[in-house]
Amino acid sequence: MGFVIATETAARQATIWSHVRICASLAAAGFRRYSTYRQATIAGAATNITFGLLRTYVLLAVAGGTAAGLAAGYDRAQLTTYVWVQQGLMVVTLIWGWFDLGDRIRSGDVVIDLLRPVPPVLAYFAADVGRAGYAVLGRFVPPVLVGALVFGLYRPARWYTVPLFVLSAALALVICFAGRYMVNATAFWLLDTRGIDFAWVLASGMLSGLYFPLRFLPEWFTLTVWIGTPFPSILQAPADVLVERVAPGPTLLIVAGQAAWAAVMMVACVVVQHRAERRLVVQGG
Amino acid sequence: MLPQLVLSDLQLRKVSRIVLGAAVYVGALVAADLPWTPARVALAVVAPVAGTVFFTALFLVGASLTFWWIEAAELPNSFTYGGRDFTTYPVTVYGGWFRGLFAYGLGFAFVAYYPALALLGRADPLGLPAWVGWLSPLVAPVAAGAAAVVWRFGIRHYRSTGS
Repeated sequence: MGFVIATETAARQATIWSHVRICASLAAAGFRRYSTYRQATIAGAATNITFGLLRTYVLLAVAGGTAAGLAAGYDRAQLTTYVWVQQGLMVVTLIWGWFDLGDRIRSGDVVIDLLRPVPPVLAYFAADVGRAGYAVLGRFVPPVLVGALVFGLYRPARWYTVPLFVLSAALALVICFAGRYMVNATAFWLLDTRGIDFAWVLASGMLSGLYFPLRFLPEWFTLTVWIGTPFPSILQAPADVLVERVAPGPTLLIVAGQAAWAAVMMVACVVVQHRAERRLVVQGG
Repeated sequence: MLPQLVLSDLQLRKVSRIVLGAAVYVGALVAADLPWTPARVALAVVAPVAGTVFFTALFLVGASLTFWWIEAAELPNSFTYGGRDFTTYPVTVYGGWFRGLFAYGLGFAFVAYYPALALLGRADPLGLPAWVGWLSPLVAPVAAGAAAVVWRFGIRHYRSTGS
């Protein structure tokens, strides 16, 4: 009896270890895959820098038009930092333009993913972490540096702000990954994800605080969106944490809200994947 | 070949954008309550058409860039969609070299800002004379000519990626 339990435990430990190893190599592969295309990195970073300049000037004009020089409670340095950090984070979280899974579902290649030893959600997430790691170097640092050189950035006053921002950005990646995964997974039922993807792009652009800080809108609306949808947790939350827009207590509440959304979204992701596997009919011929 | 490529993917749902844009434009013109003269009417009609030609030329240049920069499809976004965002605000909002580059270097100021100043009869806070607004639709043929040169050069020298 005891012998059986011992071997089971040993077997389970071996599985966990092999999962960890596989995930690590998937992450490394994700990093390499994106770092192969240097032209794409330069072109993309240049685009983020252009949009960073556009958004900063517009928001600074808004702030300059008010008596206190504040726009939605952000001062000039906070607005600048908000814009540039989000230009980098939108690539680290890859809020738009991920069709890997949907394309593989349409072509039928997804069968290979299902045969692999690691569950698909975990495998795709591991590769995405590698991709995000490269995005931090190639797509987050350059625009933030340009923002710092051209406009100057906000200096956090609290010692724990930067580590908390790192945690907040990591949670944003989890939330955004799960959202993207589910949008792609609709291909199991619909085959063509363009409609859903368009809805995602529209909602995530408007409600994540990318086009303008959500705090410009009425407070009840902002609060509803923030609690009721995952979108503000993707870009607005990490930016607000970094520029110390609110007091320490509410800042922790923002990160706690992100953690809750990350858990909900990942569980939903796994559920969607299980549902899909039960009724999967592979396309192709 | 170019018309064939352009017309191969016409999406009817995009018509709504044209309708909405035209409605907003006409609404704004009516609300502005301008003293209409034949020249104003002509400019009000020509400016949006010139803007369309200008942006079509930009999209063509952007697409042509991928002849040389294969994995760089994101770069044109900075002056196509970026330029669109740029033109939606008065250029006085922007500053420094960025304004110089986008407003005058790439010509975005002549798409909406200078025609609007001319229509409204306002002087340019940045000091350009009033006739600039009336001549600004001319950036469209210039851009179209430049785009045609880039496109022709691109297809003459095109070599496939080989994969």
